[in-house]
Amino acid sequence: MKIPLVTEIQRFSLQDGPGIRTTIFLKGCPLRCPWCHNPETQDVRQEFYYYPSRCVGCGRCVAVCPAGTSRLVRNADGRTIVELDRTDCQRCMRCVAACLTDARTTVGQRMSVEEILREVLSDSLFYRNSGGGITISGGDPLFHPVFTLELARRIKERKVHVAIETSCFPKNREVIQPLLEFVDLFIVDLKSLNPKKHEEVVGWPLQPILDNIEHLIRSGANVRIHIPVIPGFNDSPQDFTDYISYLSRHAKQLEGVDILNYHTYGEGKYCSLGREKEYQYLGVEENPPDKVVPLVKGLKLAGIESVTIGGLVGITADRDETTRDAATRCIT
Amino acid sequence: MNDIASAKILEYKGKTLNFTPEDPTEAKIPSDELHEHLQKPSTARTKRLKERCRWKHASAGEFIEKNVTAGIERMRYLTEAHKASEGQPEAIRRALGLANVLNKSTLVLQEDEFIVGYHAEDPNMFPLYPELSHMAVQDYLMSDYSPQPADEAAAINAYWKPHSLQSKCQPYFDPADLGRMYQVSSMEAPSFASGYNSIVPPYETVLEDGLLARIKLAEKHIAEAQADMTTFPWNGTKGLDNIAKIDNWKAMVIACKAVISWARRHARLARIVAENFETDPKRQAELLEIADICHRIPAEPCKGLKDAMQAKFFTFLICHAIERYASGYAQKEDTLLWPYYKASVIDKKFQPMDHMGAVELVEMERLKISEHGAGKSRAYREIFPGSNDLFILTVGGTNAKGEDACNDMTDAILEAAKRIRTAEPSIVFRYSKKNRDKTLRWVFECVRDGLGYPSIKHDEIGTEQMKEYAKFSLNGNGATDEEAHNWVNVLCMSPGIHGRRKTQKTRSEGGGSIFPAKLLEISLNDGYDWSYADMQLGPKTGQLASLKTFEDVWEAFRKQYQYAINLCISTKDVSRYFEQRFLQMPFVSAIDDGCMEFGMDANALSEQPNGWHNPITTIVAANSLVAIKKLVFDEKKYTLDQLSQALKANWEGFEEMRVDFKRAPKWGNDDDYADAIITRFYEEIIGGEMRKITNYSGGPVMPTGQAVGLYMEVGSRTGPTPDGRFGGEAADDGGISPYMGTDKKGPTAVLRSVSKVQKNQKGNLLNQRLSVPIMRSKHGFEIWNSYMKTWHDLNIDHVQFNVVSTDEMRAAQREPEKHHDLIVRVSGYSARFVDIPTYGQNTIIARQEQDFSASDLEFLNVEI
Repeated sequence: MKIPLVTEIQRFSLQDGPGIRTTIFLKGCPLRCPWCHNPETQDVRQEFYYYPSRCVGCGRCVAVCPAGTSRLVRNADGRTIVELDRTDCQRCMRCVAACLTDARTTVGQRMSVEEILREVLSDSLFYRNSGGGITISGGDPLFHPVFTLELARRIKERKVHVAIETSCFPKNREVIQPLLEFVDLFIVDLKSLNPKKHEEVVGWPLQPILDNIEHLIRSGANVRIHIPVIPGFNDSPQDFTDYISYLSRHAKQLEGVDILNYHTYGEGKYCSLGREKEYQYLGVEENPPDKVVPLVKGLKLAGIESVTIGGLVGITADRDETTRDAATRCIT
Repeated sequence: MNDIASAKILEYKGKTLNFTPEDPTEAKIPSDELHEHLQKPSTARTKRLKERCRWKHASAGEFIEKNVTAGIERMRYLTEAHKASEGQPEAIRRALGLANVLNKSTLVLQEDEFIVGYHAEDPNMFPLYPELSHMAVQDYLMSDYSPQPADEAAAINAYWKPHSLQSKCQPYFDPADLGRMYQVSSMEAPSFASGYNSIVPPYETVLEDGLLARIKLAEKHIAEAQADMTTFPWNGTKGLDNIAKIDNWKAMVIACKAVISWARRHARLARIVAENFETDPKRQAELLEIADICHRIPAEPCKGLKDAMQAKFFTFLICHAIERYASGYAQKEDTLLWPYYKASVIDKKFQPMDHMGAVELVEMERLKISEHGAGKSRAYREIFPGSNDLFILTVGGTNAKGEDACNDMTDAILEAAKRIRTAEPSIVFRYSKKNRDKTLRWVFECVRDGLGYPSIKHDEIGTEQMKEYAKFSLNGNGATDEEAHNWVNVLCMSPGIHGRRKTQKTRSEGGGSIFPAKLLEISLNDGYDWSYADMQLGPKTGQLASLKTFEDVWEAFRKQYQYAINLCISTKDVSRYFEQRFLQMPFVSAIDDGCMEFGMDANALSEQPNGWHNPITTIVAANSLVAIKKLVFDEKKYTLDQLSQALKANWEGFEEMRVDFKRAPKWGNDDDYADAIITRFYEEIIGGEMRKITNYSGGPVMPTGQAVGLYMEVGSRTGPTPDGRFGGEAADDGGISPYMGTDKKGPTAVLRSVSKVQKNQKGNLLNQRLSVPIMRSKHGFEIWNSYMKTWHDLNIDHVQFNVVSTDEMRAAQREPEKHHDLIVRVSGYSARFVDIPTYGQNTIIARQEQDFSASDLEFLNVEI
């Protein structure tokens, strides 16, 4: 089994499903949403961040680079810093190891399944007391279906609540089917209901996504829908109407809908990854917070009980006795 | 600058989160001035009292407000009585000293106040204690705060020098050892030099019995003892015990009578003002009510809540500031006041009032404490930056039957704290899963307002400790299993019994500090301190060349630690030997049922052992040992000799090596490698070696890990350390908390690490952070509550929270005059941010920034 790189294991997560959770971010996603806030999780390979503000110009990275990507230059105010051109970068990460000031840091760690499990199960007591659990996210975890299935199975063995955050992109239903046994909650990012726009902007057809969502619902899975509201892409009255009319069909089956406003925080990451040219939303302003009010109201009127802005579902009481027992076992 | 409404939007892994303030009116408040909008005094009176409060906060050892000085009256009248009583029994001399001060000192009655009483002749002043520490008084004499007339004060201090505790204790120690203690780099200076003290007064007897009943009791004992001495047949082996007892009982009678007449002088004063000077009929009536109260109490038992509050305050002044100086405000206030709350608020039998009347009384009490000044030595002013003194009361927990002890008085205390917003007194909440939701909600309200308190202690852990210590009671009368539930924090962190007897009476029982970071430094240098004092600071435990294995390093540290802790505790017990002979506390003895029963002085009688001592900077030492083990002995990447060179160069020229040591595993990340070593370090040496010591009371001494402001002081005296720290950098800021900024895995990992240390500790301070927008949102309470349940399940002793944004602290540094209500948690106490010296402010901002980055991108690092 090939194990994907992990960009981060975030303990004490509050917005990736109910309760206090730990979220695993796996590296790699087939979609290329131009507004993506987490560009570091798109590419399946290792990358590194470079922060010029932390660079002291010691030149250690220049010395170890086999491809000559870095060179020392004097900048406008006379300070010596490193200039970086990643074109020939072999991703050997020697420069990161050489850096003494954390001006370069690796994105994507190699971890064994055991290491991942140990880390994510550490907080079982918190899951028990808050009705939380573990969320597998990315990138897109279904980009690594064999691993994700195995991880979900191993977590479920410990009777801990498992959620998956995905766009439900796979065209082959066999990817999703086996997960039903182990996943308690599917959090599905639905970027548009306009097939043309979806395919042209996101770079992936809409139909398999809808097929998968409907399959999950028919199979009795718990599903929350995430709607990223992006200026100029899916924030028109027509887009809102489309969402409301489509989701109203499943109002009673859905766990809920979370509306996530576009923001510009991802910008800095593109720069640190040396991929600023890929970021197509540079200069796009955030919507005023009340922009999504009609969408919230419409969804509620359509009969969806749990609609949040931001995705904080909140803390629930002890989920059930089996979770409690499992949690107690985990800490002893 | 953002307002709260826009600050509510945070990034979380590619999503925006909206945390709408639970109170919609907060949406318009700029986030960097939030705390200036949170005070809501319950009445116009408490608002006025707060505006004119005479704070006595010190910063870098200097008082902040103008006109704060030492008074002369206490030292003058104490000395006068001491000279006049020469030749009389020492216990009686102490009582006569107290009586002379109380009879002659100027009284203070301030406008608007309902709780009356002060410990000096002017509300801008505080008394001095030449009988405790002539060095501390000498420092005052040379400062702008000198008592006037200065000549008289100097003569008084010269008189006391041969009589002082320090002069009496020093001859029993090697001057070389004391010289090491006076460095305050590996050990705190001995208490006989500083005069610093702590106590838990048995308030219960004053409120329940009244002092007239105590006098009767003492007189009955005197009569019985005298009868015993005339009973046939005389037995010289027993009969002579009566002499010391009779002296003590007589001293108790003198002290109680003096306190009653002092209280009644307040009654007379209030009446005179009411009848001759006051023109406002409402205030006139109030002054007459004050006169009524001060005439009846503390002579008689309290009947209503106003009685109880006033009796408690008089008792506090005597026990903490007039008979002898003692830091602290230890009491189980909700339990203590509940019967009187019930009488006044619920049954309306006496001094009837509604719940908000009780809240106003507590607000007034908090303001009285806020203007209470302490005549502490300069060193102790320096190590509590931004504070007045340590004032810490305890609420919540369980009662003797093991049931929830929260009541409506608990809620009144917490509500008043939230409304009036003062740094003092701090509150400890004993957290039990039995506590009612209503009270927990008030605890949360204070926490989310950024007060830094209540700090939370684990109810069952404290109770079990009381039971454990009771086993060592020398007279077989330690706390019973029921009484074990009656505990409060003596000062910041250590629990001790409250009630009618068995409470801690002197800091020679528990208190004082030891600094493992410095001990680790000298363990690597044959006990020699090259970086600060340039002297042999501990025993010679071997040059580096002789340390061949990690266990050798470990044992070198162990020997340094044994030496230091032995010296610390022996100086305390020697202090106690002389305290009971020359610093008797007849009033404290009179209100303690044990002292009353046995005719003993409170310094001498110990029924419930409560030995503790504070290791401060433990985590720097612990992280250093982890780095040494990993890089020198496991991986063999460096030799000890190379490490020594790098440290002596303050890492200059060894930058690469420093990165390795800095990146070695650190405490607080749920890292098995680091945590295994550090758990062993704590349980085997810090706690294990300390508890081998038996103190005066017959029990073990246990570590109470905390920081006070000492992490700044000691950091500046500690050279470079193998955890990657530069020489002079601040040390770890709290007990068992991770070193600032080295906990990379968030709050849950910190709790997991901390929960691994379970043996041989008495208390251990844990700092945690909560995000302001999340806590102020409607989700705040449920998130906090589930966090607390887990903390409890992990069996962790303590936790306290800071809920203050970096923005607001920076704004307060720019414009201090606009940020008087910004309160932060320093360590075991809270302080007004603007009253902390810049160095201290910066360490707090640095601490915050690690967890709560200036950029919202770092939201994920927010700790709860």
